Amino acid sequence: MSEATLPFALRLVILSLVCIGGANTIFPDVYRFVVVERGWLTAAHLGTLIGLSQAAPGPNMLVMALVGQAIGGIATAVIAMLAFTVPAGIVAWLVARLDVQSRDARWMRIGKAGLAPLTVGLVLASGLVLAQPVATSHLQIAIVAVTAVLSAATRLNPLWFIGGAVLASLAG
Amino acid sequence: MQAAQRRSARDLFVAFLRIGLSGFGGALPYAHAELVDRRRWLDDAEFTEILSIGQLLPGPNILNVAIFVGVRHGGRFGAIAAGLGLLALPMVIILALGATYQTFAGTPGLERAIGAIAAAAAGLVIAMGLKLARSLPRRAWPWLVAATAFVAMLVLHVPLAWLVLTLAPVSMCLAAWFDPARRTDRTDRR
Repeated sequence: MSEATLPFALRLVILSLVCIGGANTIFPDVYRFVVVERGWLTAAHLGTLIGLSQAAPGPNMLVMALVGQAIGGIATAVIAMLAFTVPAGIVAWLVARLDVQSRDARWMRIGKAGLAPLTVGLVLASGLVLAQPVATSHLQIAIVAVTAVLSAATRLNPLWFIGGAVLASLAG
Repeated sequence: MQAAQRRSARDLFVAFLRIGLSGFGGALPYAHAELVDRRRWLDDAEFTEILSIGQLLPGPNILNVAIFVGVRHGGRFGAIAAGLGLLALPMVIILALGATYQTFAGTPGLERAIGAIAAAAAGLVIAMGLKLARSLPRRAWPWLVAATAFVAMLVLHVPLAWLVLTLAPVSMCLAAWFDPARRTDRTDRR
């Protein structure tokens, strides 16, 4: 714990409740708060933590625990994760209950049928958005393409592609 | 549509533990692999449905998916089991890595390996999009909406919130207009 713990946790509660489209969309806000406004971390340190969270197992949102750990130790990390997940999780739980209760209602069916194609378009676009900064060499482009095609055509465990990519990068 | 099959809190915990312990470069493709491909608790259309709501809600998408699947298949305790499975152990791992990363930060090849993981993770998201696309109805309007969303985000860089606020109502109107059960519903109501 440090004097940074409480303000950081409060900011995470707010960010988690306004972020739509996933945890990745709030990295700029975390940067502004932690690096620019408060100066708790340098930009390079935050960049290292984001890279670490993306290469490590687990959802990307765990970067909030890493940032908490860096500014206030383990207790701050735990409080940061609770702040980021519990309020948003309660909202999701309330909506999920509503969904279970009214899953046969016509408005619910139509709402979902309308959202599905939007989601498909957004998932495909975000895959390509993620691919752009990492397509830095022929090998990297090949990894993106081979993974996309083979994984779409099979039910292979995604970890095969991660392992294959690491081996290819070390051999290449 | 029939009600979702009940799963024990333990099964939900283990399923999301496996998702959480994978999750390199973002957890959603692993959630699809575990819930659709491996366990077949959901089909592609149901996964798309849950992901749609998860994207619309605040908070991390994968957590929303975990809570939705947990509530549907195991009620309140199912949701808690799924959320804890997803986050508890990966958090211990990442804090251990965070405490020690300076010792292995200079390892040769590490940068390249991390880049390769990011490339494979991008490929996995594209593959998931292709799999979900196969579950769309074989009609013109869903594909038109998907293509519009794709171009708006990738080419026109429309901010996500604007895109959803404008395209979702249009798409829902199309869904209502072309709803196959439109007429039967009206007779039902009499």
